[in-house]
Amino acid sequence: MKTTVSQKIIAGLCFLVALALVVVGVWGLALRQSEGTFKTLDKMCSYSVMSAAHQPLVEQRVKEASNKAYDHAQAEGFSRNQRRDYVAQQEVLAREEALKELSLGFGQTSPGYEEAILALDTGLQGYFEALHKEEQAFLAAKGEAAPPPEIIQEDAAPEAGADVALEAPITEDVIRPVIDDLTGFVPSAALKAQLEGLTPQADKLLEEISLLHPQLTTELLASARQPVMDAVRAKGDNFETIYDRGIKAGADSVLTGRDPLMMRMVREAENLLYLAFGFVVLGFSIYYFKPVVKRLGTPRFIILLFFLLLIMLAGLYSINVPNMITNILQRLGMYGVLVLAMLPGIQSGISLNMGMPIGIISGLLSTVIALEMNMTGISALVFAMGVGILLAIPVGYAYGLLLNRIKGSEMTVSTYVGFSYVSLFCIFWMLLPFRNAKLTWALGSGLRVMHNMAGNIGGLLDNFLRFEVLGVSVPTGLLLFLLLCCLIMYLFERSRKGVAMIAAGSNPAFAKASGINVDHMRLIGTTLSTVIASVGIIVYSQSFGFMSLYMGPQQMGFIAASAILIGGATVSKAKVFHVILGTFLFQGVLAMGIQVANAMIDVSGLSEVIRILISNGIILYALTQAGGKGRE
Amino acid sequence: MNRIGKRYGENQVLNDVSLRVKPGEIHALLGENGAGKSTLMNILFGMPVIMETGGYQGEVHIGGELVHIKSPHQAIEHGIGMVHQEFMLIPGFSVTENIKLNRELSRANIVSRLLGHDLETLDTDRMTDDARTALDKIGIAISEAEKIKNLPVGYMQFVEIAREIDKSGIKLLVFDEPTAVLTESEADILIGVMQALADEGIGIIFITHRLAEVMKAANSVTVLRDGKLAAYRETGKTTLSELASLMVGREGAEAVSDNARDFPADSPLAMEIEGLHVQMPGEAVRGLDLKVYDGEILGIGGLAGQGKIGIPNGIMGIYPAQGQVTLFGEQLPLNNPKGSLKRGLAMVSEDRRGVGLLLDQSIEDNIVFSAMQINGDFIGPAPLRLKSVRQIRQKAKEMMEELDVRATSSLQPVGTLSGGNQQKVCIARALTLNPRFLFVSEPTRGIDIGAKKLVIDTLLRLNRELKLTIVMVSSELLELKSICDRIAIVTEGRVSAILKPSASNEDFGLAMSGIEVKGESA
Repeated sequence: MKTTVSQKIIAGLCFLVALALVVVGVWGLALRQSEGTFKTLDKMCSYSVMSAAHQPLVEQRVKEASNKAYDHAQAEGFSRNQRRDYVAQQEVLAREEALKELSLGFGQTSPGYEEAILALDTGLQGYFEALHKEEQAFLAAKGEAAPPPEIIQEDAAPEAGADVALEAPITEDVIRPVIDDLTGFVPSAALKAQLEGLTPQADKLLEEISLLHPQLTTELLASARQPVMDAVRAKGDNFETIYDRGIKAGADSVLTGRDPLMMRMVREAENLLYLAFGFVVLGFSIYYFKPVVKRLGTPRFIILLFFLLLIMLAGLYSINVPNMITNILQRLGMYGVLVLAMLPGIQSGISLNMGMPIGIISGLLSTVIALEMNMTGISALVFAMGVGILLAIPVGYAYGLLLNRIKGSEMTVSTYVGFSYVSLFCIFWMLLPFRNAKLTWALGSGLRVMHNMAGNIGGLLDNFLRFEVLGVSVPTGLLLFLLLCCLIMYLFERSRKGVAMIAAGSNPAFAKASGINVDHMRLIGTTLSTVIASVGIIVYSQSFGFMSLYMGPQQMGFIAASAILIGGATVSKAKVFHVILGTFLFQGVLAMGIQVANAMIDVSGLSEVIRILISNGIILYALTQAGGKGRE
Repeated sequence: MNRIGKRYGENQVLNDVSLRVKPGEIHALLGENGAGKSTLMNILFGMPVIMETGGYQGEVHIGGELVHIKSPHQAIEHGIGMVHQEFMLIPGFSVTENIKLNRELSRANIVSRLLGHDLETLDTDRMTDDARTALDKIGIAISEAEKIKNLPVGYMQFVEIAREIDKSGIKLLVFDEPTAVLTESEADILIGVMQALADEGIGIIFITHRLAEVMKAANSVTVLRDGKLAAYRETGKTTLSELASLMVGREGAEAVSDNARDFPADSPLAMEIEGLHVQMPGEAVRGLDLKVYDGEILGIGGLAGQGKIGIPNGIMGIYPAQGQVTLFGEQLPLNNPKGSLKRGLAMVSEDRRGVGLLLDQSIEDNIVFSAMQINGDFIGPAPLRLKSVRQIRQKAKEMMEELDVRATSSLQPVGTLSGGNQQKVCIARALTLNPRFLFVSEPTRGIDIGAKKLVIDTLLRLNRELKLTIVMVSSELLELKSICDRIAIVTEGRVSAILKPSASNEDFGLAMSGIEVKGESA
């Protein structure tokens, strides 16, 4: 287990590279605040404005060239295809030439021009502040102030922020800086008037530009007003955006000396820091390769590295990392108890309890009963859990008796028992005599499929002692509950019964020779698993905010089984540690993977496909980790 | 006809063994379990296991011609046939089909002319005739159309023989313990068949444990012991007792320890077993009676499959048992492992990895497991009543020192220990129960010589210091002789003799062959 010399050298190199990156990155971040950088940035910004102002002129010249080319082609008697190609070619040439010629003057400025930019900038800033305020007020009135840390939904749309606004279609002279988003927010008349009021400043700027560049006629400038205003507004954006726009407009040509390199460094500062983080992780994983792999096992090591890679990518793609961590913590608490239900099953020798829906349905039933009685708050939660456990015990016991008769093929049988039970309850959900109008279908009888937890048990555990740190919102109550459940299991493992149960699971012949009733231990394990599953689904529902009956519980078994396998359990051996690690890795990779993939592949509507791909991919990988033992 | 001399390398399972079989001779091959009989036959048949492990040394001659058999197929071409101990027959097929399996006679038809030999029509008539001829030759009156699964067990053996002699040009036929599953009258018929075959000039190698059959059927005998040639004898010029002592005796083995003590017949009893039946697959006990004196070390010996291992497994409730067992004057409930353990019985199982240990758990957890479950030891205070790691570690440390378990710490998983250390952990677990009576089953199986001695010495010390009554079951007679006060030999599920360790090899050999030994029974 010694770390070899070459490993030390490579790790050392990684640390050195990381150190260099940190130095450069921090320097870059510091430079962002410096006077010189601001000046250069202003230069680039003014260049962008100038470029925007010249846009109509460029277009005009292109148009002229295009017409000329067309006439020429007609005269020469080109065929249609030839003509089209020729015109396109001439247009490109003309555009290049125009830009080349005009851009020479882009760097030119005058005091009046700079003043005008400043005036317009101040005016626009005032407008956007007012706009933001109004929007907040609107949202608060609507009752969803500052959308809560993006809950969980795998398919939650990536933030539709600034990018969209910039590309928004622009009508004649009504500016729509924010697209009408899904919240239904519309800027008030007063705001619109404020924006209109900025027109003189804009015109002043255009005038200054025409003074500098007489070839820009008033006519041309009039159509350039909107692009110019957009370019000025970009001043209020962050460093990266301004820089990227400037570069796109070709502003690097006005930079002199070391400036291009410096600006580039400042631009990439944050990314360099993320990269440094990556190198530190790489260095550590090389240095501690053997001990870590020994402790965690190769698969977990790989998944952990993948997880860290995702964090790095999330940083590079400017995904909100604190939000994401909040998301992962919540998922950990939400699924943790369900995954814990796998533990006693594996330990008592029934391998993966794929019949977990049996326990889940007990939990769902008890929650529905609580809702039927119009219970709310803590009492509803306690009632649901208590009744859930009471319902789960006899069902789990009966299910255990069944499993004792089919030793050796538990996994197959339990999967189908779970499926059948779910289907059986599809009938019961329709037939059970629930009367509460909140629960039943509007027409006819029977329970609805989805039930909103808001207002009864929704978020009770999540919001208990919830606090925020570094932008991460910690669902304290949820995590504490998971820890409590894990602690109880841990203590049980160390009791006489628990020790006997684990022995019965890992070596029935040994247990029998030591006077242990193996069948009895399997019953205990199965019942315990069912009971924990019933509690688990209640925790899940209150956190998720919705409870889904009918086919909802069917896939839960697979998710829980995959998580515990990823955590390092096998079908015959598992520990509490595997539950926590597995849930964290599974849900973490799932949550981050989807966001990162969405950011990387910029095609809308792909998120659902990616979600299915990633989650089933993880499940498949996890099942390959189960090994061949299940067949013995 | 055959002049075989070979050595088999590396592990020296066989060392300079020669075997000669003349045409028309019945030659018996004798030896204890592990003497090298199977290896010798595997070489003769060119079994893949031999080639994979580096081949063999020496030469095989058939009909005076040097041959090198590389596969079972070649063996068949050279005219060597084998009648297996476990029947190699397909139960759902008829006798004829089994005899002709993979050697079917066939006629060409249209399809086969187009698509090849594999699709020819079976020539059922000729096949039936051949099968009938073969069956007639060995004088068995069963219908050749009968399905194998409908036949009595004894007759399956004859179908196997018929299959071998149906192969044309058979010169040498090996019978691997053919009489083990047969009744006495069936065995007589079989021996008759063998003699008839021999009369036709076929050489026969007859592997068996039953000395009496050897004397009756064989012309000559080769005795193997520990992979070496012990002796070659003409049956006419030897005696039962000489063969017995040749089979069992070992060079330098006469150093029987002087540990043995005498227990008068009226000594207090630790255990009395009457009419014990145990249904343990392959090791069935059939109505065994045995008395164990308080404070003695009783050895139980015998050949594999005779039921000696079934005794402790039955009494401990691991396999279904019937009969009367009295422990220190108290009736012992059978088929109740917990009950047996609670009454102060403990057992070190012969199946160390399967039954004896939780391989992926730590040494300390293994050591205290039974005591915790049965006696409630090592449990912390109420209300949690968790296992007390401090007590456990202390006990484990004590035990590991006492038994000299070599490990990095008491937390090492037992699966990573050597066989000898695993065995010591098993013994430690049994001792932690504070038993009054200890069964030790095959304690030295699969462990190296140094560890063997340690285990044996430990057992002796436990007996002398703690006055622990020990019943030790072992296939190694030498080992039993070195520490036991008395040795019971079990044959066919019953005690055939109880001997003193000082009894002669001849007596032990005869007892193992199931022949009543008068003499020196203790």
